[in-house]
This record gives sequence, C-alpha cells and structure tokens, in this order.
Amino acid sequence: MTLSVSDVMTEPAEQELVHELEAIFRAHYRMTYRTAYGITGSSEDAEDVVQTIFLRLVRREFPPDLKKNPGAYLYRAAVNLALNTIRSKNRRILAGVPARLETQPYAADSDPAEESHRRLYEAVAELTPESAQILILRYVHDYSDAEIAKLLGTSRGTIAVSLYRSRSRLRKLMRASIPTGGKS
Amino acid sequence: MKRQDKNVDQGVLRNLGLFKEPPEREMDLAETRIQQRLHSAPASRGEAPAEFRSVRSGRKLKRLAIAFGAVAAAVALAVFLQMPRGIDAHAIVADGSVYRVLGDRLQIVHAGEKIEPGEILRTNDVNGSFILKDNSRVEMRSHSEFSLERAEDGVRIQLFKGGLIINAAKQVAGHLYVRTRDVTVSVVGTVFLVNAEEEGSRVAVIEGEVRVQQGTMEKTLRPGEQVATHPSAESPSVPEEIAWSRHVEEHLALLQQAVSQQAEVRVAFEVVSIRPGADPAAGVNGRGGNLPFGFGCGGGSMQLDPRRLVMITNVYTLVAMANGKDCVASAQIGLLSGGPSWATTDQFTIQATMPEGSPAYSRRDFMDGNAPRLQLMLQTMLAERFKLTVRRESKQMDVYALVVGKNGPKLTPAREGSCDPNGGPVYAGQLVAGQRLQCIRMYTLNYLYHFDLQARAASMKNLARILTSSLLRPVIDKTGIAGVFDISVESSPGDTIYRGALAQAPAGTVDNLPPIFEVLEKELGLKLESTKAPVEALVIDRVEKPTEN
Repeated sequence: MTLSVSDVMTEPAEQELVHELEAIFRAHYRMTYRTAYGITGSSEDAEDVVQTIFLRLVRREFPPDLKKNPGAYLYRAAVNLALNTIRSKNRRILAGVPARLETQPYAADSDPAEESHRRLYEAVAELTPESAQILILRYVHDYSDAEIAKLLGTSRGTIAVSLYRSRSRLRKLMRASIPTGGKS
Repeated sequence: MKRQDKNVDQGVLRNLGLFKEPPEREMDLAETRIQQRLHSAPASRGEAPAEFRSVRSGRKLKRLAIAFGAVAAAVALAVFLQMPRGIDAHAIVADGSVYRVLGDRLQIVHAGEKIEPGEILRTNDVNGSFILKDNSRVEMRSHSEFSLERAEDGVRIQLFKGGLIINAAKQVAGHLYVRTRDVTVSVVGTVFLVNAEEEGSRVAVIEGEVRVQQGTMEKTLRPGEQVATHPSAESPSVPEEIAWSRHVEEHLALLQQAVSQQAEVRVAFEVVSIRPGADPAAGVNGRGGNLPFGFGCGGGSMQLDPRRLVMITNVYTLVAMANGKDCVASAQIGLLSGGPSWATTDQFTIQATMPEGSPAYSRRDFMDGNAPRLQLMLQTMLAERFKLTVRRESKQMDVYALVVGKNGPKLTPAREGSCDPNGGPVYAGQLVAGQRLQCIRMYTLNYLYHFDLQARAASMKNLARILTSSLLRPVIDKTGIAGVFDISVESSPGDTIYRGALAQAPAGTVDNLPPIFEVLEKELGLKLESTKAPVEALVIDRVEKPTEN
C-alpha cells in the first residue's frame, strides 16, 4: 500500500510533532549542513548527510536528546555521519583500487588542498566521537574553548585538554599517513 | 617540538577549517531539494520511495528510509515539512521564458502552465512573470531562480537569486512571504521588490507596507524605503531598482503617489527651537536628568514634561535616541558611527513641543527607546533641520542571548509606582515627602571593585540594554518574560567593561565574587548564551549644522 501526502489524515498530536520537526529543520538546517560540509568538503556529501539525518528522524520517535537540545543532537549526528562518510569512502578506495594506492593513496583527481583535507579528516574519523565533536566546534565553527565548554556543559580545562590530545593524536596519524620516500 | 611536528601541526590547524564556509547558494539549493524530496515522496511501506534519490546524479536510487513499517511513521513523513491543507500554493506562468530545473536539465514552462510547490524555476535572459492563486502578480528579473512553498499560514516564495517585484493581492486568509537566504518579507496587499544576490538581499517598497525579518531583527518598510543586508554594496534608488520591470511606469506612478501620501502624514513636532551650544536658560529643572556621556555621545541633559521636550546634547545622542538606541552602548561597540567630528563634540539646545494628542511618554520611556512617536518626531527634526541621512546596516556579530536558566527565573516584580519614571537622580536619604527614587538603569564599579548593576522597574529588554553596554557585546532579550522587575546584582568585574580596573586595585581590596554570567543565573535565573546574530548599525552619511530657527 502506498500512502501519499494527500491521502493521509493526521491526529492533532502527530501534527504537533511534525510541526516541531519542521521547526527544528528550519532552525538547524544551516548549522547541520555547515558541519557536514566542513568535514566532507563536498556539497553533495553534506546534502546526503542532512537528508539522511532528517529521514531517520521521521522514521522513529524523537530521541530524548533531540527534544532536550536539538542543536546539540543534530550537530553530533552531522559529525558522526559525515565522519562515517569519510570512513566508508576510504574503505571503498582501499578495497577498490589497490593498484592506484601505491602511487596516489587517495583520489587522483583532487587538488592538493582537498587531498590534505580529506587525509586529515580520515585521521579525525579515528578519534573518539566526543573528541572529534570538540575539534570541529573549535576549528570549523570557530568556537572558543569557553564557548565549547558552555555548550557541552563541561569545564574550559577539559576542552583544552581534549583539544591538546586530539592535536597530538592527529599529528601522529598524519605523520604515519605521509608516505616516506617522495610521493605524496 | 621537532620541525616536522610543527609542520604537521600547522597543516592540521590549517586544514581542519579549510571547508568551513560552504557555498551559500549550494547550501540554499540543497535545503529546497531536501524539502522537496521529503514533500514529494509517498510514504510507502516496505520499499524505498523512488523520489528519495541520492544527491549525486547518475547514482542508483539510494535506499533511504526503506522501512516505513508503521503507518504512524508514514503519517509522520507525509506531513513532515508538509504544506498545510487548504492552502493552494500553485501558480500559473503568465509570460516570459521560465524554465523548470530538473537536476542538470532545464524544461521550458509555457505561458498558462502550472507551477507546483517545491519546483525550482528559473528565468534566463528574459524577464518573466507568474500569477499566484490569489491573483498576486510576480515579475521575475532575468537570471532569477525561485520556488514556491506552502507556509503555515499562506504561501512562501523562496528566492535563491535574482530579483522579484511582487504585486501582492489582498490576502484573505493568510500571508504571502518571500524568503531569501537571509531575510523573510511578509506582506498584505502591497507592491514591493526583493533582490537576492551573492553578498546578501535587498528589499524595497513601492506601495503599502512590508515587514522584513532578518534573524532577530524586524523592520517595517514604507514606500520608497529599502533595506539591504550587505553594507558593502551601494544601494541604487528604488526607481533604479525597478527599471527592469515591464510595468516600470505603473510602479513609478504608484511609488510617487504613495510617497506623497506618506509625506502628508509626516510626524513632526509642533514647534522646534534649536540653538547652538548649551543654553542654561532652556531650564532643565529638577525633573530632568543627565544623559550618558562618552564614545562620542554628548552627555548633557534632558527633560520631558508630557508634551515639552528640552534636550542639551550633541548629534550622536540625538541620532541614537531618535532611533531608540542607547548612545554609549551603540557607539562603543561600533553600532553608531560616521559623521563629522563636530557631531560628537558640539552641543545643541533643543526645545520642542509635541502636537496636542501625542502620547504622554515619561523620561524613562524615551531613555529606554520606548517612545516611538516622539522618536519619529526627532527623526523628522534631524532630517529637516540637520539634513541628516542615516544608513542602516546589518552586521553579523557575536552576541549574547539573554535566556531563562534551567531552573526558571528568580526575578522580583517591581511594585507599581515604586519609582519615578520622570525623576532625576536622588539618594534614598535625601527623599522629601512625595518624592520617589528614580527608575534607574545603572552599572558601575563600586568601591569594593565589584561590578554593580542596578535597575528599578526594568523590563528584560532594559536589562539586555544595560548588559550590552557593560559587556561590550550586543545582548538580545530572548527570555520571553513580560513585566518589570527590580534588579540589583554584584559580580566580579572580570568580564565587564571594568575588567582593566582590576589590575589597578590596591592589594587586598578585591574579594572574589563570581563572574556576571554565574551571578545572573544564580540570582536572577537568567543565562547569557553566546551566539551570532545580525545587529542593526547606524552610520551617519550626511549631517549639516542646523538651520536657524
């Protein structure tokens, strides 16, 4: 059976829920898109991420976290899904084109800036989700340590420590990912 | 740190934020596409709806939201972002070259064809026009792109780029909205223009009145007025803006008529006397009070006895007060600027009388920016006597939103009549019979090196204004709390305008009070949340010394 928009009758409570979700979409679309774009560096991937998040929301009851703080929920969802996109692309490349991997580990047709960005976010994808979220708030959204602390309900010190550790971890991962002996 | 580590660190920091700014147009188009996919998708059970294609062209259907197992979920999808029932948002193309955007392809839409909500339409080198169901006529400039949507209470035109002139029919049961990426315009029976460009949007009114909302700011425009969200671009005049229209002569006639009608209802003082310098004979007596001083604001004094206004101050203060702004707060954070140096130094004595029947404002109302009719009269006086031209710019700034804390507000309602809204400064010990304390709005660094904020009978908007001035960052009231309250808090001066004074405090004199953010939450149940928002800035483009009386 197929239901179309015009066939469906809704109860007031459901309509209320739907309006609530619509309001959430309107209020947080740009932040969600911006977050996804900041990580994937691709308009198409960012659009896929946002679309997937909202489609998932219409399929199930509102998660309590969404009701409590929609912005924080959507931000987390966008970071995690965008990092998954990066991970799955990386898996595709590793699995699909081993021959090219030897000389050009990543996309052959990307420019050097995009290349470095993607390599970096592959490393970010290996951080814990919490560390990645903090890192992106700091460097993609330009939040200060104090602002992040306030947003996440923790101390400025905790944020500073997390950022320090993430940067150290990224440094190690990036050094490991730079091919030795010339080609990059 | 080794050189290689340093290089990697620099690379990390540089690359993390490499894609922080998505192309605005891509982002806007994606928003519409996602909404469109969700709108048009039938909620099917057990299989992926065909319309849920991935963004990427050439990719196979993406299996999204496959398991719409429960009818409830299907129902939820069907109405998510739905178009409210009973509102017909379709339109008919009237003329010109209008195209439907279908992925990478364009499909011509002939005159008489229907445009459905959610479709993306575009004009090429030729202007076009369409007619909405309610008979509103919309002209599209060449190279414009838009879609129609159903809003909760009407129809919305989403303009992605280009320009539209809308001749809106009287809306019987709803509203017509035009939305660009940074403004929403709402309208009832009027003719107006909206431009959406890379840098921002511009709205101009030909006839009637429109409300323009940008972030938290809302502004009403009347014929001949326009507002731009991008200060960098020089705005052409309204006649220049509409020159591309096929109906330009009709629009110009309307504009002329509307502007002249408006001029007839000019809001002005009955009598105004302006003299250069501070004239003590003007007589600001005990019921008057001082005006704030500093950052180009002139200080001086002001008295308002219902219809008679006496002000001794400079142009900066006059401009700020005519626009309902706090001069010092605005000037020190760059929201009031421009003009010659004498605008910040020369005092003028102004004595004016409002026409009979004008609202009776208190001195406090005027100081708080709550005297709209009086403000309009002051604007007229500045335009006519000082030849003042002020440009309004919208600045995206770091702001604080004043919101209710998680445990709810802990505010003390002000007792009615507990303070005098016209009173001058007076200490409690000096009160004489029948005299009341002034309804103050005050902050200071007290002798204990505490930041000390005091307000009597203050609304949340008043509190936001005091905090704006003392925290050097716009504070926007988002509490939704009505009423007036007595407020008295002390905090550490660390985050305030007095932060520098701490260093000069004699040893042992400073006790550690919590910062203002904590004090507000603990004592008033209010929070300051850091965010970004567009804020209106006033720039004096032109001002002349006033003409003789």
